[in-house]
Amino acid sequence: MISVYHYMSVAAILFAMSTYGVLTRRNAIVIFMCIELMLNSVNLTFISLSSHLQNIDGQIFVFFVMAVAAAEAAVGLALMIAFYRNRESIDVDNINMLKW
Amino acid sequence: MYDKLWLIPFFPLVGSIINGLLGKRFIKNEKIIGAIGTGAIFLSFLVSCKFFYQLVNDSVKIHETVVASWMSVGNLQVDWGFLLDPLSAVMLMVVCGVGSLIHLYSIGYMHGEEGFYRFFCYMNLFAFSMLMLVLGNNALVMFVGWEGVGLCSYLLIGYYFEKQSAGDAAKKAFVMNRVGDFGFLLGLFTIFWTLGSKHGVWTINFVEISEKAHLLSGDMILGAGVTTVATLCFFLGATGKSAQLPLFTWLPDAMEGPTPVSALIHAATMVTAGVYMIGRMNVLFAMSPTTMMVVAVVGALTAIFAATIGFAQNDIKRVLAYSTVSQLGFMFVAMGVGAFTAGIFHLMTHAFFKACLFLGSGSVIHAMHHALHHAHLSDDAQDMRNMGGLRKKMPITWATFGISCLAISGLPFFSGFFSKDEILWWTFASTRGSKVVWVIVVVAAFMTAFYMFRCLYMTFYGEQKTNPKAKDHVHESPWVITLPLVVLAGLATVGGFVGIPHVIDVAHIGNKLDQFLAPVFHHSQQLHNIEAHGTASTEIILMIFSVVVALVGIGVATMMYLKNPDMPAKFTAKFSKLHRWVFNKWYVDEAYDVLFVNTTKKLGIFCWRGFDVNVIDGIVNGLAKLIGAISTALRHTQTGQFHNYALTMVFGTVVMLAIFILN
Amino acid sequence: MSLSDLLAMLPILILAFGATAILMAGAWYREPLPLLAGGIVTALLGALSAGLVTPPVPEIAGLFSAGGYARFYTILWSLLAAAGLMTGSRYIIEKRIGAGEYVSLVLYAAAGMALLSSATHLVGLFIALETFTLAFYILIASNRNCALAAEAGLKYLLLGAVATGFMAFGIALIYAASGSLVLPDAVMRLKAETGELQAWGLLGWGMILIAVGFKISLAPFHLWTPDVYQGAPAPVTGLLATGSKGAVVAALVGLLAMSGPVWNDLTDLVWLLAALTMLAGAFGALGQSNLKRLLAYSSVTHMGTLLVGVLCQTSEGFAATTFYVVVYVVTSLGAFAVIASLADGRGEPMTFDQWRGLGYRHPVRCGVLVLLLLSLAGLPATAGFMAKFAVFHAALQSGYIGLLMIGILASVISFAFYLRVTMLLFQPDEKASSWHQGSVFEHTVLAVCSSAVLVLGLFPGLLFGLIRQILP
Repeated sequence: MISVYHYMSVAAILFAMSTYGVLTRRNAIVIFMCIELMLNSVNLTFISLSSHLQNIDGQIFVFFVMAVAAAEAAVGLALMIAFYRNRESIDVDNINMLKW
Repeated sequence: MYDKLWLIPFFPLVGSIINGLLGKRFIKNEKIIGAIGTGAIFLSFLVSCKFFYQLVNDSVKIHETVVASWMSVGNLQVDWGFLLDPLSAVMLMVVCGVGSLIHLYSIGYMHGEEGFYRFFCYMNLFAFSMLMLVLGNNALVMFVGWEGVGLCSYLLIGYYFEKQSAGDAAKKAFVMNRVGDFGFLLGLFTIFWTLGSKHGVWTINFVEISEKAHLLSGDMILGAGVTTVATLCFFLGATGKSAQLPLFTWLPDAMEGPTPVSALIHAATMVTAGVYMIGRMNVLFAMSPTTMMVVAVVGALTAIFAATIGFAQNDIKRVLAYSTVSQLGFMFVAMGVGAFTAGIFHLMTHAFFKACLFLGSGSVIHAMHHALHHAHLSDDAQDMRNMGGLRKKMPITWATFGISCLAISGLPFFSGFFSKDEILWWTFASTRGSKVVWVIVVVAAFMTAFYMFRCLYMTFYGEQKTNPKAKDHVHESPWVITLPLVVLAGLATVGGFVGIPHVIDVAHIGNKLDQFLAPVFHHSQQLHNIEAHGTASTEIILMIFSVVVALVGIGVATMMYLKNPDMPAKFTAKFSKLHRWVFNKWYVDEAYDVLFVNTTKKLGIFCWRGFDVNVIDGIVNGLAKLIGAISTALRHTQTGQFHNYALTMVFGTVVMLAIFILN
Repeated sequence: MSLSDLLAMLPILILAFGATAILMAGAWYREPLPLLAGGIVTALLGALSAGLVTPPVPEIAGLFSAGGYARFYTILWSLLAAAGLMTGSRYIIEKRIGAGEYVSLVLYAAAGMALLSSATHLVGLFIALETFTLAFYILIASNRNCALAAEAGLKYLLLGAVATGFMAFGIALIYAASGSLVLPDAVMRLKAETGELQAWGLLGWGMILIAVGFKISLAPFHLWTPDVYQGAPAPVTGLLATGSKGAVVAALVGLLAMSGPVWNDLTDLVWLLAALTMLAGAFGALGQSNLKRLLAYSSVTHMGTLLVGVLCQTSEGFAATTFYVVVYVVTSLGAFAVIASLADGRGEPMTFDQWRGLGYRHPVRCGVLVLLLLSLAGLPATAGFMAKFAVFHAALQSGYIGLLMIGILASVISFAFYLRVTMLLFQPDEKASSWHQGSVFEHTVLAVCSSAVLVLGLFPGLLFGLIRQILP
């Protein structure tokens, strides 16, 4: 029997993996995908909890998270383009003009 | 009746704003700017006189007025309130009176300086802050003034900011004062918190604190009495502001500022704020014999230490600066042995003669500077080795400087005699006094007489050692400079008669100052059994002894530095044997060289270079370096790299969660 | 959603619809000044409606409060938006940035901040936070030709998105533990729970605290602050430093004031964060030689001090924190407005070399800057001193003596770098060049900010009285 704990365990592992991805990847777009993965692990938690608790709030929250993720992706890609036009790269190692 | 007290700080504030905003672009004229600045503080002086007179004739001696409510935080109500009692009244007269004279003097002294308006703006702002400090009826208003005077001092020390040394001096003064402020705030919070949380009295009003202070008697904090801890913190604040060991080295460096600033801020008023603060909180200090002993010992050590350093100085202003540190030490000794009146008395007389000395030195420097400038020489205008024989050229300056030297040395019937003698007597005979401290202070008094007369002789007597080209261009200063000198010298002469000791009071005038200040100090002195007890004959013997000590100091200096070229020759001719016996330069000088000059000079130089420069500055600089290193290290965490930032975030999270789970 | 709900939301609606209208108008009509004027009017209308229209219901759709506290912040953030538009006017005209976009984004951000300050539901909290954060991502990089701005925007976006992820996960954990997203409710149920579920809930609060810590730059989540402040244009930095941080603190205070002491188990953690933040900010600023980065570190210290007020969890602490937020917003906005008003074709004056001697070229504005810096430093008789004093007083009454001492130490240290700038401004330097004279808009903002600093310093009772009335 697959319980809510299994779902949540998967979500937690997913969250940890995506955090690891954020820390190790260099391509800004891949980092961004990892962040999306983080949000999706949150979504998974909410949906499983919502069905477990018989409470609709969780599912509603998922919609908002998706909306926010989409908006963030749109803005993020635009920013990456702006950055690329100035620096001809989206490698985060090149984000280093502002420091000290 | 007293509700117009706010006028006193108000005038200088207005003066400062007018000169600050309009001085550069619209007024421009030095005379008008100077008149506004001087007029503002003089108006305050007139108002202060009125209130002083009123208070003297009033049967009730403590008056509080509230101008406006400042804030109420929780159960704490703080007002913009002023407190007029005999203590603040005396301080008002000193600050406004001496302040007016120094403002007047500055018109002449600062003539032609770039940023004339800026100078008067700062000076008035300083006067405003100092008056807030003196008049505030609660610790926060006092702290407004306390910070304000620090800020103005900082701005005025760095007045000649094109000079690197001026900037460094300002920085040093700033750092040391912040250490002091830290102490002040800690002390304030300790008292405030203990009174509030343990006794339900949330207050920072001085009158209320004094009334409720007895509640604190049994309270402990950090294994010591609350009053001891708090007053030690306050005393730390006082050491910063009033240049006592170990935080005194900023004051000699502060001489980088213009001379009127040295006279007003670094001699007469701001540096005495620490003494005033102890006087204001005398009830708390009286409750802790430990703190009072610390105050007395630190004061005595500072007095002798700074006096020793005074020997080795050739810069006229630095001699006066160390002398100020030393005299402040006397005042702290007075506070520490419970002679609060004597401390305030010495504060007052010191304001007169030290302001006069500084202004006199300013007059000399001014004249020297012009002469050297006229002759296109770059000799040091402040070095006493370039002076000598100025008595004839600058008679008024000489006379006033000489009178002040007599006063500071404590020659009978000059003002310094009365105040210093009262301090010595209390140190000897007070229930909180100590014979050891007394010995130290007497030695310091002897040294004071010696180095002040050394300074007088090197500057005004003997041959003029100024470069021949500039020699004849040295002239007496204009009246705006000499008038304040004359007035201050007058005060330095007769100012002591307000506090005639009982034993020599043949005319039964009475110790006016003691009677006047009694409402502030007598209560705590009686409560804690602080009094000077001894027979009249002991007092007279001690008095004669201290006069003799001063005379010996002056005598030694005279023998050493008053080198009249004719005298030795005449003596040699007339009494060659006697001369050989008594006045033979060889014996005296040699003996002196062995006994005095070399050893004390070495000691002085050791104290100055070894302790002052290496240890204290070392600590201050080391602290600054440590903070700088931390800051640099932190700066290097700012790599600009996304991954470093993200990793720090995640690492922080993990650590936080670890702490959380372990809990 | 009923009509009374809509009426209660009127200020937000004015801001959001006004922003949308201006965005659309900007697509066809490219003259910047009318659009800016429209934006300023919209913001002022929002503030006016929040002040005058009494909401018929206390809560909107169970998501947002409509009480006095929420309206107070709605007014503050609307006025902030107006000020942001005023200081940004010259920037968008000179850099040829689409006025429609800029104006509408600032208004959206204000709407988001106002919503966040009034959130009573975790969904509301999340949406509101994201609303203005998204607006800021774009505003920071609004000058597309500037490599530094693009870098600042991307850096803030990537790190901010990670923080969003943490926040969402924290909310999920709270949901798992308490089964509710309504704030007081979730807290109450959490308190009733024991064992594993309560631990999850607290873990969730911890994650939210981290996300909040990122937004208001608490150490060690503060590293982005100086970089982003430096890269972003000064008018935007002014908004970012004040509004985006103030709104988050406002939400925290509102939440804690509503639901009682949630944080008893997190106290140690918050204590540590506050201490670390105050010291990191104070030490970090000492080594800086760029005014914008220095102000960034200064804001870090201030956030640490604010956290002390929040930590007290007493009504006095909340009142002090709210007062502090207002003072900080006014002062910090003014400081960045001075930078913005001096900017010209060469960019903004940032490094100390550029600032040296400017006091003689631009005496009035540098005088204002000195006043604001002294207020940030907490010189007595300025608003900053009152704010610090109120917070420390609250900390004292709650018994946080250690934190109080660290706070005093940090402010003693911070005096050094504020005064360093002050001295720098008035050092004579023949090479000091003149910068832009500034527009009427910018001077207005400076006049308002500096007089507010003086008035609040001398008569803080005015604001304290109001705050006591509105605290939930």
